[in-house]
Amino acid sequence: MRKVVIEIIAALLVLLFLYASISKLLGFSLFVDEMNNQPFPNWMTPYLVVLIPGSEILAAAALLFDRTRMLGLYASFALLFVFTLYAALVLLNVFDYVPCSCGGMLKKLNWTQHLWFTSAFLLLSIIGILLFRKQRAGGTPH
Amino acid sequence: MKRFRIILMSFMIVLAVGGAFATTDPPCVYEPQFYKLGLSFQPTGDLGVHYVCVLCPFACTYYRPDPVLMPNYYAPCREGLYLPILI
Repeated sequence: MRKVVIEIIAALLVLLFLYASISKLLGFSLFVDEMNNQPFPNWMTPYLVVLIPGSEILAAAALLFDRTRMLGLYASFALLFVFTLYAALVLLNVFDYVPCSCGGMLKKLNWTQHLWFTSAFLLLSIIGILLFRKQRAGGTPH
Repeated sequence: MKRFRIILMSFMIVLAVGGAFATTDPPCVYEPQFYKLGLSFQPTGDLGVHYVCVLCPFACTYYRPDPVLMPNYYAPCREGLYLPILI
């Protein structure tokens, strides 16, 4: 049962990160514009437009295989933590202005909905990490 | 278990790729953008450089779907409030 739950969690994270990264790559010039629209310095844009989809693809790839799954779960946790933190900071009006959120279907969500969405997946990644560690500690073969 | 994983992951990959293509942004964002100034429309600069769109929804920018046959018709494109970046 635990193995099935881990597989489903990994699959959902693969879906999320692959969808998000491919959406960004399909509309790359728009993605660059939307990064410029975010409330941090534009000099960061060239790095972020490579780093964000790149790390999403790597996290998704790592989740696909047993040997790299733990790494993928930790990478998922790190990415989702950053996205959740950013959404929270936007909602707390830490920045000078509230930008429009970006990203495929997620563009249809407001910032509060975005926060709930990333928080839910963050929780999933934490559950996945805990279950995977228990499975490894129990010596259950993958 | 292995077969379940292969089927599940394959399904998710197909769903992710298909979903990304299906929800690709409308082409209007690649057209010249305008903002509303009173009763007229003025060209914007570059998003994030000359202006930003904040506080969705509302129409931040407009574009001309058919600049040849309908040169005076502007349709909403980007969401938000138009906010010029004052340097």
